Amino acid sequence: MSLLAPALLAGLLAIAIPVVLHLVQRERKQVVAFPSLMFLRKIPYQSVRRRVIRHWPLLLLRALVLALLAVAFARPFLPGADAAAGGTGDREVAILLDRSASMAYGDHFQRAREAARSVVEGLRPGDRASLVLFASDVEIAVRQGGERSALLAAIEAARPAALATRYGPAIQAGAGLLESSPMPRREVVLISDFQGTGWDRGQGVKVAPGIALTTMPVGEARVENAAVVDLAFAREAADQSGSERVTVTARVANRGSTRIDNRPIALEADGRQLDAARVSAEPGTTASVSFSPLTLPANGLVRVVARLTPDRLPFDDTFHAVLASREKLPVLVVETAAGQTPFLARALAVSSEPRFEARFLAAAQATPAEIERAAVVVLNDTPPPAGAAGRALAAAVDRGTGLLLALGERSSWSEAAPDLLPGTLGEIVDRREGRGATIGHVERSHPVFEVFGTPRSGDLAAARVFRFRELAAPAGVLARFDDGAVAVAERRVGRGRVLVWTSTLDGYWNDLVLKPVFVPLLHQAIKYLAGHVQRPAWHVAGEAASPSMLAAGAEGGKAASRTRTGQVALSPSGARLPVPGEGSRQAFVPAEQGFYEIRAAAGEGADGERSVLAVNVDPAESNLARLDPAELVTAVRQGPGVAAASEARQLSPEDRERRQALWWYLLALAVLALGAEALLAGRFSRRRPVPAAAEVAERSAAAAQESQRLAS
Amino acid sequence: MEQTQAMAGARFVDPKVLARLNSLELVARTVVDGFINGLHRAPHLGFSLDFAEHRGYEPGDDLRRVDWRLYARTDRFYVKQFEADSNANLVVVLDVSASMRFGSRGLPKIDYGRYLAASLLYFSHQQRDRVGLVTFDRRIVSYVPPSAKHLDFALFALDRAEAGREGELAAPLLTATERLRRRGIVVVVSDLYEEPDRVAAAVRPLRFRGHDVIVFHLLDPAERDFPFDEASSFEDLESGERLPVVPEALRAEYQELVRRHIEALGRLLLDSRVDYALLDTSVPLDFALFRYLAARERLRRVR
Repeated sequence: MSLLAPALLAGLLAIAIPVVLHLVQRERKQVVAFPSLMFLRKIPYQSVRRRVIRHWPLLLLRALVLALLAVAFARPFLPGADAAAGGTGDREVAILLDRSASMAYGDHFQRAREAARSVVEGLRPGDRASLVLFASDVEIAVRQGGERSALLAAIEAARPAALATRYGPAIQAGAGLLESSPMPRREVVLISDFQGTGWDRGQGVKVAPGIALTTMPVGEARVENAAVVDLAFAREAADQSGSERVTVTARVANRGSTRIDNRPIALEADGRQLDAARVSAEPGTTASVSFSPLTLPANGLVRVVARLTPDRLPFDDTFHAVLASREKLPVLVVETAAGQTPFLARALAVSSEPRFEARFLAAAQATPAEIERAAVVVLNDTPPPAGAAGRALAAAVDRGTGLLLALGERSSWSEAAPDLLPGTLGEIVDRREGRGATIGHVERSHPVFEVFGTPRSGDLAAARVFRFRELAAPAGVLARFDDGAVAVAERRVGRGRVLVWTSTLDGYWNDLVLKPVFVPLLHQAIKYLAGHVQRPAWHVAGEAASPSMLAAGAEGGKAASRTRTGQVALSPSGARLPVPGEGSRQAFVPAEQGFYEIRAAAGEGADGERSVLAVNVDPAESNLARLDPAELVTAVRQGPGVAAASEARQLSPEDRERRQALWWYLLALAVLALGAEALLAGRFSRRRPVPAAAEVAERSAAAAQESQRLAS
Repeated sequence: MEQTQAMAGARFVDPKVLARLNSLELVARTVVDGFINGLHRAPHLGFSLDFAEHRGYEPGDDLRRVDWRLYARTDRFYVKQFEADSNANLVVVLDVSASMRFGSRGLPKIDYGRYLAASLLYFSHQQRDRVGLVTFDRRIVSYVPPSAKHLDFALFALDRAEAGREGELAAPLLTATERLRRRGIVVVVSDLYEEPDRVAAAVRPLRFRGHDVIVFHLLDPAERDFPFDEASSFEDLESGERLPVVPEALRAEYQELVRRHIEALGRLLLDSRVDYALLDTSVPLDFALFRYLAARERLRRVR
């Protein structure tokens, strides 16, 4: 029901008038002179008592009259019958059944299934229903079916998934199913635990007019839940054998309302239990548990699981991660004479994640094999290798190898050399007079420089450049000196990248190598050229996995950083799923909790390279705080939507008037109530008879009797 | 018997009818004459002539008091002594505080009190008692010392008495006690709007002086039954204080409080050997006279 003039509902405030009159008016009446208030004052007589309303029926009747008048003047009307869920006619229902991980709490999912069954059983012949299972994804299990058995079977087959809750897409999908329905009554029934984290207040979900949204909450107010929400790894330096020791720390959050006390937690590696501990946490807090260090095999992967004793929500009691030994990135430095720049050697030696394996060779020693093996080649103040090595370099860059050029006195680029330079090499520019050149402009959005983008993160302009090589680069300039000359330029060749620094890396032509920014800048440049991406230790279920995470093989190197086509993933439940290759429009979205094994599909080279993807439930799913279903219903707006069905039923003026005629009935009711009020008021206001002559006569008789007694 | 029945109508006159008589004396006479005529005989009259004892003659004694018969028998002079005085003192102590102005049936308590006092005084005067009057509110307003010739003064003072100011019992009664040196009958007429123990404490000094004390507690029927219906502001006649009251809600408790007050007054005054009688202003005055006589008789016997 809606109102034509809702502002007139303010008239409901007038209900207070009878109350005020009841309480105030009565005491304004006459003043009664009384000999003494001695006894009246003794009566425990509170003002509250004084204000007690005597004639409740009268007051309620008066309030009812005013309320009826106010509502009548607000002109209530019934919207179109097609919009009313409680109207008549056939009904189409979209049942949205929440199957997110939080529904696995206790018997929530069982209750949700029962609720869904009750909706299905409430369908009448001619009604239709769809079943939509949702979490972070939306799956239409039964589409606009009238078959009760199919719906019940689908409800029975539904299981909670390890996915997060997202109400918006589900409601949109449910409403979408109903939009084109010809049925007069359309209703979306949302069955969920109404977990607060699943609702984004700003997302603005809209449903077409005439579609009712009904909620059926199944959650509990008080919950008990502990969850492992994070694993942190502290690596110790690799020993001589190349293996590392890693200390694993699990973070346990108590999301319930009671304290967890000495809950056992175990750490497993590759299926074997390594260590066990106990954890305690107050409600709403987190606690950390560190386990004894485990040893990582060189070039190996370890599947780590932190396992808390299961509670009522078992999904978040285990946390999976893949622990890999640090990657190694082979870097080949070609110089005029090997070891000519100690700065470069030292800077590459201090790398940690990944580790750079640097080889320094004189230009003459660079062989095609050495070039093939490197992920990044650095030409430090030297011309490109000639002959087979030169061709090998061009081919490698084309396949994806990175090339870093530091130009100096000895740099030259002949016509015969491969076309890798981002521009045309010019003369030496001497800026020794004055304070030398400084880097004036930098493309800070570029991956190489973005780490210096924030304040106090390194001052590139501190370096003084006294000499540099002129470079005429038509495009791809990343940094310029203060006079506008190119300082850094980039060029993509095939799948590889080429970066040019127009000065040297030796401390003669500039003092960049002495500045604090040098080491991070060099590391960023090498990682960028190698296309290196840090692999996260785990992935959240329901989110698209990036190609780098699915890269098969953990042995590192350039080959590992590219996703092959034709891979398959073996899910924790044993299902084989195709993995879309790089460049595909589809993404791989793991939906199960546990370890996915990514391997080459049969017949695709079968080189035995495997990768493991650890998948966990979204930690937000552990937070079972509830959302008020009414808030969600209020927030879902009735948008313009597809109104074809409702537009087809334009109301006739008579029909419209009939729907607005409700106020006449309300007015009639008000008049009836007024009549009843008058009757009742008349009855209440009748005075009770005051004792008079009869009583006096009675007393006189009593006195006479006593006087007789005394006289006798 | 017939005579008694014939006079019964004259005896029990509604105080409202008495109120139409202008003269207090006429009121008193109407009441008292009707009262006396209603009695078959007057066994209670003349109680002031009782012989008490003989005492040896001393120079200066009135020779008329010498018992000559005894002298004839014993040859000694004895003087005959009678009961203190053959006629008693009656002093009516009337409360004229503002609360006495109240009357729900057209007859204020003060008027009823005046009729009662006048009747008692007139009746006692007929018995040849000395009569006196004290009116008080928070102090003595008028004082007519007891005398056989003071009935007119007393009636005049009663006629002029008006209820106006706040009242109090203890101080004026103490003052009256100090003034009434000669023992007699003291009738206190008041609405007794004080705590029972304070009332008893106020009356007790009179008793200590040897007076026979009768307390007539005047109450209007409305003060006992609280028949009010409408919620109103109740104004204290003495202090002017106002209290918003819903009578319906308080009636039962009020009646219970008044009942307990009366009960406590009766008990405490009885303990002090003070006669206590509750008088409703709707009750005829004869009833009060009966109470007075009954008490008077009882006191005579006790002595």
